[in-house]
Order: sequence, then structure tokens, then C-alpha cells
Amino acid sequence: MYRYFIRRLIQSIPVFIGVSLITFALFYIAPGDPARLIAGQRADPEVLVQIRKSWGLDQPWYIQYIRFLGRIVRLDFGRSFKTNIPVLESILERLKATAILALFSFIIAVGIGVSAGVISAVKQYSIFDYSAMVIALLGVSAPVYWIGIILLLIFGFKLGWFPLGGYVSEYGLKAVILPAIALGTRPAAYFARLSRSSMLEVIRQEYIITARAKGVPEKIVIFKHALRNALIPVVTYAGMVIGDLLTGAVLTETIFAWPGLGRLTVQGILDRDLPVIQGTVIFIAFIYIIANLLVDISYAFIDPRIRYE
Amino acid sequence: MKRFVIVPLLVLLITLLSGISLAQAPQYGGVLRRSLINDPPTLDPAMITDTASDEVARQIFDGLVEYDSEGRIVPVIAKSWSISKDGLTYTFYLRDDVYFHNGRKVTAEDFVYSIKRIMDPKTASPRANFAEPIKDVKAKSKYILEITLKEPFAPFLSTLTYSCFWVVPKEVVEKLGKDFATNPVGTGAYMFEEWKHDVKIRLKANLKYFRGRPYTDAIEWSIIPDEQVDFLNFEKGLLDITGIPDTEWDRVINDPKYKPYIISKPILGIYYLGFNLKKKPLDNKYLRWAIARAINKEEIVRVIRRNRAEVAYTILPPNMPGFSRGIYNWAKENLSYNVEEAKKLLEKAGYPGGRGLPELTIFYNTSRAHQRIMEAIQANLAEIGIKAKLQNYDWAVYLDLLDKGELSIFRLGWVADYIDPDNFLWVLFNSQNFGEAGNHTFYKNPKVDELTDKARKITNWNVRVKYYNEAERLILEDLPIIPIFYYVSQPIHQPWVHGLYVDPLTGLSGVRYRVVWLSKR
Repeated sequence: MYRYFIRRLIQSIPVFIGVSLITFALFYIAPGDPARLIAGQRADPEVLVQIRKSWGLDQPWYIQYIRFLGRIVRLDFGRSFKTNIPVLESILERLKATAILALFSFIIAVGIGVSAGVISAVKQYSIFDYSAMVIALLGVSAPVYWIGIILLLIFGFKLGWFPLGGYVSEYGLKAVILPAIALGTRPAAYFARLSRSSMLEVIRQEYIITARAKGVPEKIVIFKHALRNALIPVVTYAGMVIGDLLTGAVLTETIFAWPGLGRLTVQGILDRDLPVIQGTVIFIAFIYIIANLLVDISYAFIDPRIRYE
Repeated sequence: MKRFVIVPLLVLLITLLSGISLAQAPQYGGVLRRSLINDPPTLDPAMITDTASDEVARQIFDGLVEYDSEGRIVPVIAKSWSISKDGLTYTFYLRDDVYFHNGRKVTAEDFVYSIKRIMDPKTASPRANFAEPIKDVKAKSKYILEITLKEPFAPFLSTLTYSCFWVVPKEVVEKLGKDFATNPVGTGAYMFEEWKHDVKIRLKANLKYFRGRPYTDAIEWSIIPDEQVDFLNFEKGLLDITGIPDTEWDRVINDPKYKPYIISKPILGIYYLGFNLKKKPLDNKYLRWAIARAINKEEIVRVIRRNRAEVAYTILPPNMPGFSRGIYNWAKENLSYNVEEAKKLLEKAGYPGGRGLPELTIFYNTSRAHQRIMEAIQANLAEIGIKAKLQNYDWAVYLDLLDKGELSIFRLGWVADYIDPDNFLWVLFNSQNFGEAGNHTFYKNPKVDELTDKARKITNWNVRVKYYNEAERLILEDLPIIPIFYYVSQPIHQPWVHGLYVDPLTGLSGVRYRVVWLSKR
């Protein structure tokens, strides 16, 4: 297990290098001059030359890339073109906000989604099952910004129960509820559908029928024998969801004025802020690799049939 | 009987009291709550290029002079000034009661440092071009500053109102280095207090401000990236002043609750369609005229902009000094929407009914608002037989392609940096400024070059206006750009906000909040 963990970590190094190279190349090939963006529409040509020089943009691509890799090793992503703030500082500052939002969204998604899915499977073709699946369908189809605005309009503006956007330290935990619901709705819907189908598949298997025939109480059959196996695909999806929640909450963060990583990334892209784009992409890749690793390891705990060499 | 006396007395008393409350004097205290659509990239005056940074930094810093709410140049740290007869030497007599927020007195040396910092290529100030006319700057004494120019430059005093010329304390700038941008120290009415990136910025009142303490105790900007949510916050009473999203405009303007609190004022900006004159067939003047006459600007302003702009005919907006009503009337008559005239001009251009004319491409930077305007123009052109397709790029790429002269027909906007016709006519149409310096149409008319060059060197305003009018008329005849509309700023405020005005140059972002006061919420 320990060896497997180390091996997987080492395997991620080429992935990192690949990610860094692709990020760098995409930016380098794309048209548009970052110096122009820093200087604005009415820039002085001499200043543009100076800016390119001071940011090292006048160097050949391989020099820029090697410098960039060298900095990553030292955990230095450079300073933002636009704000001059160290990128790592910005990432860590935003990561905290995003992590809080992701955690609450995850709890909502798993809590509501998995319970609804399991109950639907156990009570297949009941009213609960039909309603849960219709709601899940809506949850999957509704865009997150629409859900966000509707939640804000009803619970923030009309009822006044929650703040109209903002961050936890400003408004306490109340601030996280609406964005977490908005962000958690879609994964909750997926969890519900996935755990329902997975559960249905498992409870039809022979060992469950055997357990029931042996007179094992239904609760034990469901929770001990069926649920554990049914959760394997759910855990795989959970790993992906964690990565998505940590990195992809762009729209939610915009609507709820949530100062997270998603907003930082998108602002970096809009500003063509090379250090911010590179820093956030590398960081996001890191999160995905770790999330996948954790998912693989968690299999062993859930399913005793899986053992790692 | 007594009651008959008491009731009118009471009515009189109430009327008097309400009259008093209507004409109440400005009050001190309270926190002014504003919002910004994004976190300001920098609060270092040398580096500011965007309106969010400008709005915040404007409260923290001061310069030698500034514009008042009517666009007149008024003294700030400079008590008075004199200009030498040859127009080369500007002498400023400074106030001796101005302090930086760190407690140190401001002297002429501080201006020497601040201006030289802009001029220094190592600073890489994106506004270094503003210091271009300066030959030298020195302190003649503790409170006398002398700036010498390379050659006479009439709008120089106006350019000194610009953010890059605000005074900064050397010791703090050098100690903090790049971090000065996030920990600014100035002389202004408000002092930097707190900045949580992407969350909020807070400034507190400078109680020792040399022009008197500001009315409010603090200003707090929340960063709200979504304009819809921003407006929800305003409606909820959580923001004191804000902009109105297009989608809410019809509702808000028809709501008696909001209507009295909308300020509507034209600013010195223009939205236009430009032609790259290096590209065929756009070098054909009649074709450009045909396009101008085919575009229904009135309809664009009415339907798409919902009257939140003014139809433009001239390059200089009507509130710009030097604006000519005569040229406006001429342009309105000769360049406004007229399909029949457009068709005739197209024929004169050699493309009757659009025959023989290749498909044109109209470029715009990605935005739903621009797209709708460009679609309207595309439909207008189709009416006279001109086929046009639309293509968009994001802003960074768009600017780059514009600089390189790769876009044939493009939309662009221009908002004045200083109140002088030079900032429109010289910057956008003088052939010294091809590409990134501002002349994106690559327009070259030796007569226009001569007039705009001469006009910036003479100090006699009447002569300058004559030159500018002549130049503008020539430009409009050549038509390298088609003015579509002049920008109008339309912020809304809460009933308890008083003293708010709209800056003639930049609208809401140019307001100095020290004059704004709050009555009870």
C-alpha cells in the first residue's frame, strides 16, 4: 500500500511536466500581447518594450519555460502581471475560501444525493422514487448561475434569510449556505442517480438474495451487505466531484462574490495574466492528482476484494 | 374654537420642520458603501489604467490640480501657477499645509520624485506617455515647483489632473517597492485601511485633510462581480450608490421610487466604428460615407442602448471645450441615416447595389452588448446591398490585432483622459500615433497633422479652437471613423445620499467622495 502510494506520487511528476508544458504552449501560441494588456489601450510603445523586458517576455520561449519550471520547483509562481501580488499568495488566500465552499457543497451533494438515491432504489417505483428522480433530472439540467440567482432572489432578497453574496469571514457561516446549495445541486443530482442505479444493480445480485433467504434483517442486508458495494462507483465520482468543486466553481463564485480559486483563474485568463494562469493550472492539476490518488486508496477500504501491490 | 387655532399652527410647525429637514446642512459620519465589479489591480498612481483602481485611488491621492464637477481646472496642492510666455516653463506655488498619511509634510521635492518616477523607464509606468512632453522638473524652493517642457504643449495643465501625476511619498514607495500598490500612502481625504482581495476595500476618513475632513467616516467597496447581484444589493439598501444593469433599466426608470435618484450626465466619451484605411476597399471614401449613411444610429441608441447614450455625429462630444455646433449640424445633416443617399454613395464608390463589393468583416471585442450593436449595423448594411460578417475576439487579442492593423472594420470606444480636444483629435487622428499609440485607423491627412500639431503648441485658446474645428471638419469629411454615440453616465443613489455628482470625464469612477454626505438611512 505504502509502496503503491509512493509509486503513484512519482508517476505524477511527468503529468505535472506535461501540464506545465501544455499550459505554457497554449499561452505562447495564443495571439495577444500581455504587455499590451498591462499597459492598456493607450500605451506608450517604449513602455511596452520596457514591460516586456521587465517581465522577461522578450526572451525566447524555451528560456521563459525553463525559468518557469525552475520557479515551480521552488514553489514560486512569480507575481501577477496585473496586480504584482505573488501568485502563490493569491492561490493560498483563494484556496481557503474555495475549500470552505467545496466542503459544504460536498456535504450537501453526498448527504442529499446518496440518501435520495439509496431510498429510491430500496423503494423502487414508489412516489418517493419518482419525485426524487424528477428533481434529480431538474438538478442536472438547471444551470448553476440560474439556480444561484433564483436562490439569491428568494432567500436573500425577498425573505432576507441569507446575505446577498459575500464571504464567510464577513457574514459568518450563513454566507456559505446558498452558494453551497447552488454548487452542490448538480453533483447531488448525479449522486442520486448514480447511487440509485448502483444500488439497484447490487440488490439484485445473488449474495443479497442469499442473505435475505437466510433471514438476515432487511436493514442489515441494505446497509451492511448492499450499500458498501454499491458505493464503489459513487466514491469514484466523489473523487472527481472534489476536484471539480475545488476548481470549477467559477460561476457560483462570481454570482455569490465568493473570492475563490475559480474566480482567480478566470480573471487570470481574461487578463492574460500568464503567472496567474500557469500557477492556478499547475495547482489545479495537483489537486486532481491528489484527489484521484485518494479515491484509489479509498477503494481498498470500501471493497476488501481490491488489494494493491 | 381652540382646536381651529391649534390645527393650523401644528400644520405650520410641521411644514416648517419638514422645510428645515429638506434644506438640511451636510452631516458628518457614516460609511459610504460602494461596489466594484473586480478587485482593483493596483492602487499605485503610476500604474493605474483601469476605472476600478482609479475610483479608489482618487480618494487616497491628490495632485497639483484637478477638475471640479463641471470640468474646470482648480488648484489642489498647487495654490497657484504661472506659465512662461514661451509656454515652456510652468511654475507651481504649493500649499505648505499638506501632509502625507504617514504624517510627513509634502514639499516640491515630492512632486519632483513622483514625476521623475513616471518618466523613469525602469518604473515601466503604462502612463509614461503623459510625461513625454516634460524636459525637466525641479524644486526651486521648498514649495515652488518648476516643470520645463521640451516644446510648448497647450493641454499640459489638463494632463496634470491625470492619476499618474498624483504625489507619492518617496520613502514609502522605496521601502515597499511593488507592495506600494496594495498599501498606498497619499495625501487625500481618505486613508487606506483594509483590503481583502476580491472581498472588500475600506478607506477611513483623513481627519486632518488640508481641504477639511470628508463628510463620511469611511468608504467601503465590496467586490461584486455580477452586476445583477450588485443591483439586488442596492435594492436591498446594502449599497449607497451603484450603476444600473441594462436588463433592469426599463423597470428602474419607470419606478417613481428610483427615478428621482438617477443621475444622468454625458461624459467625454465616444463609441465609434473605425475603418482600417490601409485595407482595400475601405480606402474608398465613398464606400465609408455609404456605410455611415446606412447605419441607423438613432435606432441603435433607442432600441439597443435604451436611450442610455446620445446619438453622435461629431468626434468631439458636445460638452468638450472646442465642440462646434456648426460642425455638429453639418454632420447631422450629411452623415445621418438615409438609405437613399447611402445607395447613391455606394454607386459612386463603384459598387452599385453592392455589386462587386467583397464581403466585409466587422470586428468587435467579445461582449453581448457590442454584439447586438454590430448585428444592427450588419442588418443596416444589408439594406443597401453590403454583405458583412461579424467576428469577435477577446479584449487582449483584439487590442493586439488592432495595433498591428489587422482588423478592417472595428468598433472601439474612447473616453478622454483630459479635457482638451487634443486628446481626441491629435491622439486618434495624427499620423504620428499609428497603431498602439491611438490612431488605429492609420489615417493620414497632412493638413490634419499640421493643424493638430500646431494646435497643441499654441496657448491662445481661440486660435486652438479654430484649428481643431478645421481639423475635425476635415476628418469627418474623410470619415476614418463613424461616431455612433456619446457615452452617458447614469448612476443611481439611495435617498440618503447627498452631494453626489457625475465626473464629466469618467462618470461615477471619477467622483471624489469627500463631498458626498449621508443623512439618516
